[in-house]
Amino acid sequence: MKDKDTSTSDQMASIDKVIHEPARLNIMARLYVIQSADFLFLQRQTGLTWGNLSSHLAKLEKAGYLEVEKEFIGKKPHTMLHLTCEGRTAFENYIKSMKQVLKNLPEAE
Amino acid sequence: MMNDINLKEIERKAFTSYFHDGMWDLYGGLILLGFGITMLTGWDYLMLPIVVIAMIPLLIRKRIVIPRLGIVKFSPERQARTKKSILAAMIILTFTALLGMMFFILFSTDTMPQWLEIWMHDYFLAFFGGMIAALITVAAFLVRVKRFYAYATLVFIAFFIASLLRPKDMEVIPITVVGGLILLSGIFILIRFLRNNPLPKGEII
Repeated sequence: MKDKDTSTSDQMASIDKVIHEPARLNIMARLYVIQSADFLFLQRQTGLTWGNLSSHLAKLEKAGYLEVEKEFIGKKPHTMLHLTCEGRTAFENYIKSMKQVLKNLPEAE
Repeated sequence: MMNDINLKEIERKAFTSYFHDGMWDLYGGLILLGFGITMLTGWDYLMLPIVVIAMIPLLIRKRIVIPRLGIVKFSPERQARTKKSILAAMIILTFTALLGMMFFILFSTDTMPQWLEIWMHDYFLAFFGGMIAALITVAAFLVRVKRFYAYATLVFIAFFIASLLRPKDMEVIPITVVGGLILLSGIFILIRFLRNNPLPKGEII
């Protein structure tokens, strides 16, 4: 029993805090299912404010999970955002860890 | 929290968000309404300008939707799936066109079996409506927009009723009504889209 508790605690401690924040988890999930998107698309999909989205994107970029890329669409320069390989792996690991933690927790009565 | 993350649903929502602007509805509604008006007035030459007018929403669609929704590139898997779906739609479209052409040749060369000729005379509109409904159903399946299934059903019912009302010269009524309903639905969806997705103010990264 104690071993199981220790294992659950360890798993909880290993949860990625950068992704665990709800707004960032929302952003990561939206970027995970696509190749790339611009700021406006993410804002519409997540429902976050401009400032809020900017600050969370900056944190994800700092963690190395997100990359900002300037590209031309037609003749206009555009800023596209996409998850890095590291970001994709981190998101997949986060999902696995969370599922494991939730599986090990006792059923709520 | 994990139960709230349904990645397939998130991807589907992102993909279908580009079809909630009402422009395709306006196009379909205008075409049907135009078809009804042409039948009502008997002025066949009206159909061409109506088709051109109906194209306007589709031509300006990109200018209205992209600045409000932003740009997204879907995963290579989604792109491959979309290509396969378009190919399937093209096959169905070609098959439908070939079927139509076959009927036309049989009819114009007087080689159509009599039973088929009688059936076509009585139910041509229902057959035509069925073909349009099939195309709308394929489109609904491709873009995963549920209201298009409702439109397909409405169109088929309208054309079927029209074929029954044909002997009384009232076939134009159900087609025009359904065209008007789809047009109204498109206007409503467009207004809701513009209200929910205003042009962004200030600088966008």
